[in-house]
Amino acid sequence: MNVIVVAFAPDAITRFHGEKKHMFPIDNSDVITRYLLGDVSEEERAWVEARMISDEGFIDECFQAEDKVIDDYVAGHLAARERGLFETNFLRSPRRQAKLQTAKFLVDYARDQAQVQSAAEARERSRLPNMLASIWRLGTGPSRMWPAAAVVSALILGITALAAVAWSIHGYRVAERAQRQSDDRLQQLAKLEKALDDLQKKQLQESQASANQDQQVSGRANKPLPQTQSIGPVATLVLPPGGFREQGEVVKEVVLPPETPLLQLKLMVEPGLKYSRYRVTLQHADGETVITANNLPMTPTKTVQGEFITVALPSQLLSSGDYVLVLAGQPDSRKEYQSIASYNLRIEKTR
Amino acid sequence: MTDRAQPDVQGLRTLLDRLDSDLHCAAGKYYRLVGILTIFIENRATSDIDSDELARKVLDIVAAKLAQGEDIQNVQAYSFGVAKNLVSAQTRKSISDLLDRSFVSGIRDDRQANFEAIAKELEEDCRRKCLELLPAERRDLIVRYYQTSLQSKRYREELARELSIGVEALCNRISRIKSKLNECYRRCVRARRNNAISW
Repeated sequence: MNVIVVAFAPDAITRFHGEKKHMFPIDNSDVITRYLLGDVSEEERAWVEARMISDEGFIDECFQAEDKVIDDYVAGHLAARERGLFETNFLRSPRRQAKLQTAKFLVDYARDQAQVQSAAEARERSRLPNMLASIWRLGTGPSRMWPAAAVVSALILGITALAAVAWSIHGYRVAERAQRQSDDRLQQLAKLEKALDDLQKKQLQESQASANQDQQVSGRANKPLPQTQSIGPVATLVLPPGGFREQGEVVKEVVLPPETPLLQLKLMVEPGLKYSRYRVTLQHADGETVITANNLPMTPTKTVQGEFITVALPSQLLSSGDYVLVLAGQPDSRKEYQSIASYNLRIEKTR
Repeated sequence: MTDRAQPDVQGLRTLLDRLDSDLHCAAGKYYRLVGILTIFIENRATSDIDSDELARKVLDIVAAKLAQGEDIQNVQAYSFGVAKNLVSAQTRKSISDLLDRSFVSGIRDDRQANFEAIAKELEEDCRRKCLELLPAERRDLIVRYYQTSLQSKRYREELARELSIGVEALCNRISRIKSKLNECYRRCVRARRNNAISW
């Protein structure tokens, strides 16, 4: 705000500020606003109009003051007296009426979008505890798939955290888009929630079947690796490390229909692998990173086929194409991650 | 709407020359003068006046005077004088029009009301479309500006602080966005009304 010092004839000063007959700072914006509202003396009006002709920057202040008084009016920040002057004097001009209509439209739009955003956030907040409870049940249930649950929860929390960061960075983005994204995310969360429930049931069945199999077929350790195990709410793909590919192994491929929101990858690892934390990086074949998840507290699962680390990826992150998943481990929190293995896979998403 | 005759081309050229020797700068100064006169007229007028149109009419008169060889020392000051006279004349005319309107208002039919409702809808639609046409970054900023305005009286300062920019810079940005919106809106309404006429 510019503050200038101006000198007036004594009578003008008296009319401006009562009995103070000396040089004093005048706040331009105050005089301009009163001029626009038709609340100035003749001297003040003459002074403003003289400045309009002689001062290049002054007219910009006038235009800004005009916008400001309109915005303050629509937001309800004008005092009663100013409101009255605004309605009777300022709004006589059709040009200003048009500007007021635009400002009103924008305020209504902003208000609507704020309501839509807060409603969507409230809905999302109410769904998240259910999601987490579902993950918790998965991790504490009778199945031995708690590492998968941990990874899934880490990924979901990671995605939620990413979404929160994105939300704060782009917090003022157009609310219409936010609403659309929010609805999509809710749908995805709902699918994910359903997938987790299904996964929980499936793990239960698998662990029972595995226990029976362990008892019945001991000694059959060299069973061939299964390919895509199931296509349903959760698709599971068993992946050998990339080195196997060089020995003529075809790239493992999985078809993801839209109703499959979760891709579970069983990564075959060396027996006896032990790191305190793991890092999983999914890259496109050209090296572009899709997602990285750090600090994953996973434990390899021992089965008759070998040892596996299981990670789950939301299908929404994936599109059709070739990917490389890089697994790294951190011996302890003070040390760097060490590369463990990379895994090649091909995804085909159907519509 | 004020009747406005075709401007005198020679006079307009002379006026632009007087404003600046560089044609591009002169055009900028011309529009700036229109803006100043608009505010001046709005402050002086006591009735509904299309201030933008009247400001251009003022400059047409000044241009014609220059073409006739009138010795005008200060174009801006002279323009203000012309504007003052036009506003007075327009005010007198408006009072007479008002009396006429009050006479005919009783015979306004339903078609007029329908037309006004359609026009309002059309204007709303144009505003929405123009907002959607803004680049996302600008749209987000103006929506956020108005959202903040609903929460605090010191919304400009607060938003400027959040964005790590000065209040003046924020106001300039908002002002530019509004100008774009208004420009788009005017074009849209004009185009839609032309279509509506053929319908």
